[in-house]
Amino acid sequence: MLSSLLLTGLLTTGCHASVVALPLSAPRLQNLLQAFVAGGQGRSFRVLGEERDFDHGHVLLEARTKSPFAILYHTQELADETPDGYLDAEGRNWIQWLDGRGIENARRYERADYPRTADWDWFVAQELPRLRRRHTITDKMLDPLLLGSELAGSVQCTFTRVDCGAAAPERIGVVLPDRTIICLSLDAS
Amino acid sequence: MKIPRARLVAALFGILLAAGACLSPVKTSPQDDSAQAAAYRRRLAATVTDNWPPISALAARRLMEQYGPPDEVRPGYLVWNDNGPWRRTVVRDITPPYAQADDLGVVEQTIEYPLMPGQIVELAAFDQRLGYNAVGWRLSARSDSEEINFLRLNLANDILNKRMTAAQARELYEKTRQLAASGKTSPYMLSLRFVPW
Repeated sequence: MLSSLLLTGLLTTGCHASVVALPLSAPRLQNLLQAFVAGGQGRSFRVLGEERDFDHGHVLLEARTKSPFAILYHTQELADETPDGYLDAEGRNWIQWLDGRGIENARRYERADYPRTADWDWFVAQELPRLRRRHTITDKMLDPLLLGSELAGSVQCTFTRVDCGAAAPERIGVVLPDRTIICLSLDAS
Repeated sequence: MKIPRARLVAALFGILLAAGACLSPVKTSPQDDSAQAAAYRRRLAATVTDNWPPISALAARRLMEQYGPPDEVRPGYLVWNDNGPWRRTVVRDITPPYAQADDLGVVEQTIEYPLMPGQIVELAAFDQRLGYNAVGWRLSARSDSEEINFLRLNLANDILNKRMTAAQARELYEKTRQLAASGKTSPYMLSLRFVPW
């Protein structure tokens, strides 16, 4: 209850300072991130709000309606460069459905093959090996048939840890399983 | 006797030019560029790049998909002028020195950006893949993709505007590429974040 009150006090709405508008409101994003953190802290990531481990998700947009239907989170972003070499190759990419289906490993939605255009051929030849070396699945690597939706692209939302006492124009708060409250500033790109 | 690939491409180019009769491998002017001339350059470019090494050929195909037929077709390079945010884009036939070359620099993209001599030195300290031609104030970046050229030039602009040092820009370049491979997109790789001259 206390946490909820504190979070309500911390919350501001929208991502208006961003050049790109976020297709989800800040309260919605806060709730979604809170659900992800509750199950993922210590398992799929360790440090929330810092780019060395977990500071962003991609809001996936459906092609026909251009409306958001899921978030693709990338965790353990630079975890293989930490002194303890912490990296779970199978735990880096997560899909959180916005229709209440919960959170799943994105690996099960990965494409088996790719379209044949010059841009896709370039992606497969030049980008895919780099992404695979870091066990990354991007939105381009998700299979529309498995997702059940054609993608119109995605909007990246970055949540950066900030001091809860400091003024920040766009801010949400998330409670870690140990009851620590983390304040995060939002930015979309 | 083994004939060097470059000579073969040049010979093939000569045959195609002869077959093209009055059509030119170079766009003369935007006003006079007919659909027939553009289609000829596209066919010529496709034939020329078929004989290029895979990375050069793929980069060329990708640019043609994005920007249409090149304005100039030569055996060793293709050129687009005033395409997108660029004054000039050149893709070159470069043979990789080794199998897993990370960045051959096959795509050179140029903007107009007046620089003082001291600034040229600053940029050279950041990245040897940036080039400057004082005639016409042409600042160029070379890499294998437009995204990396955006990154190099955006960082160069930050250095020139005293937002970071060359060393900081090198560090941010490496970090941005690492994060991109980890799934995080940087706005620095999506477009120029400044308006060129």
